Amino acid sequence: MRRAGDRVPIPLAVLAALGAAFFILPLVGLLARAPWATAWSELTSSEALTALRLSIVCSLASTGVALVLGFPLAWVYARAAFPGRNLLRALTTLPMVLPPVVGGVALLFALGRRGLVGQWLDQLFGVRLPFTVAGVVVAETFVAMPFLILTVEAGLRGMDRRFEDAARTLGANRWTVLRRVTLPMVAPSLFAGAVLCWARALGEFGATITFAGNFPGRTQTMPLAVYVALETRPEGAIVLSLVMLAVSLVVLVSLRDRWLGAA
Amino acid sequence: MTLEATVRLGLGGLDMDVALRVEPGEVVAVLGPNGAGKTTLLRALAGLLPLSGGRVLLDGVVLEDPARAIRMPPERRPIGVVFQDYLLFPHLDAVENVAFGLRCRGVSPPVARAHALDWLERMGMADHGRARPAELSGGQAQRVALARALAVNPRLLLLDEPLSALDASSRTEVRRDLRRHLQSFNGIRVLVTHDPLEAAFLSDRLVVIERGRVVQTGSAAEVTQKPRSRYVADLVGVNLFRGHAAGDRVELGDGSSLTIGDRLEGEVFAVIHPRAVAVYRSRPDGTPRNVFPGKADAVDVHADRARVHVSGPLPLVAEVTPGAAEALRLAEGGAVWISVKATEVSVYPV
Repeated sequence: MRRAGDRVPIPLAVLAALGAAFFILPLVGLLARAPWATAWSELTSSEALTALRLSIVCSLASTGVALVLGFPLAWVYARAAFPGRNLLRALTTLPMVLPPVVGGVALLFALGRRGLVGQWLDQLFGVRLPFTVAGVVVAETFVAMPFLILTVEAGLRGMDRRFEDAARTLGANRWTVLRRVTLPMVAPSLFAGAVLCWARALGEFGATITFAGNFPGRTQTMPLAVYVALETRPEGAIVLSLVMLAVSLVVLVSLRDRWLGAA
Repeated sequence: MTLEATVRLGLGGLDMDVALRVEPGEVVAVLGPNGAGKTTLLRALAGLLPLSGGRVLLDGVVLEDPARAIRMPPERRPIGVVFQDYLLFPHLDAVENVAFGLRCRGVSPPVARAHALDWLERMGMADHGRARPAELSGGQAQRVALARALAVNPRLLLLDEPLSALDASSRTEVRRDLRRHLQSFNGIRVLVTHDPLEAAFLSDRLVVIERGRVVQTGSAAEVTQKPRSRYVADLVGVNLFRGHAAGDRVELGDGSSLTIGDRLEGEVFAVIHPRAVAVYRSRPDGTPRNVFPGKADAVDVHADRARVHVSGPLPLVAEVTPGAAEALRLAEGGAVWISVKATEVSVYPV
């Protein structure tokens, strides 16, 4: 049982305050140096807008791809039993802990022009992924989809499967059960997973710059733009950073009840 | 319309081998303690659990026969199920829940909805069509669940603990409603329960199962008059013994024996009602033929009766007045003698 109003031992309080400051100070720094007077014009400058638009389009596209490919994977992990399932799950979770740059390098060797699959894509279909908008989507999906898979798998495992049994006794075949019972019942997990996936895709840097490069207007997303702007125009970097900060906060608050378990 | 099923399967620690035959128009209650395999039996009949042996035959149609590799999937069986907790789809309103089965059979949405509304009306739930399951009381949810199961016109209706999700205050009324609705359905009805009152009230015949085996079948009166298992004996509240009869004696196997009023031969059950047991502090000297030493273990006092648990060569429960229990200080335990008249032991063959 939790008791209200435990007194905090002083050493603990000091360390906890330090810990909190560690997170709050950078935000304050960002806000303190924000060029509020020119913020609007910085934000609406053509480069910033282009990066913002590209970021939104690519992160939404990769969320879409992650939903289409990730839900079936999560379903298979939660419901199907086959040898090597845990190994497969570990492999598809790897991008969560892998340095994104390494992911980008791996993508290059798989899907690059000389890559394992990339050379065939190039020769047979004339499709080149590296250093294109599609490449950005691939890099972001690679890094962000595990968040969706894990969230949806947890949702599927937590669901009372007897509802699916009930549907079957009412005449629903497996596909109808999936469509009319399972999907609606795990919708909150799907939503939470999609939002997390989208937020991760929006912030993706390492894999994107490695696999898709940093071409303004084509593959330069917001995080890349922030990084580049920092060297030439710090004010622009700050304004772009604040935009990303705002987006992250909105995601966090909107998911508070659903996923992060509000106390 | 007949259900003939032999269900053999192993699930976890449960090894099930149950034969069940239900005649047209009959309501059968499967009664048993927790873990006896009641829900497993229903799930197997519905096709949600595969049999390892046996056969399920409904109206002469084989639904499942592992020996011939026949297994009809649950969605094609003409079986409606009312699940424990009802399992109404939380994301659909009452009408959509009832219309679900029809929609699965390709009925167009407006026709399915109209049909579903008819069913809700029949259940007295027409005003709650738009309600989500979370907004319904237990009794209302049960009626929606029943309408959902019946809307697809099944020939066999299975109900799993239909009243256990209800609180005590609404149970009596819902039970009466349920009996009425069950009577209006003219297919085969099988319900599963751990509550003997519920079973007796709702069904024509009881099938008592324990640890995956049928231990007794018959009407409620037959089952309670001649218990054939410790479970049923405990439900009825009588002392049950099993032994070998020879003349007017029943050998109980552990060296002790009972003298009985009748003459019988072979394996028998012997039932002694707690009221027929007398308790003494010193060895009685009288006509009762069955006199045993024992030890008073525990005394449960009910309104005007005290039930004394006596251990010893013939462990049993005696029912005395609270005054008598106090006079003998039975609550303090200690050595006692018990006696039962031979004519008070009712005996019947196994």
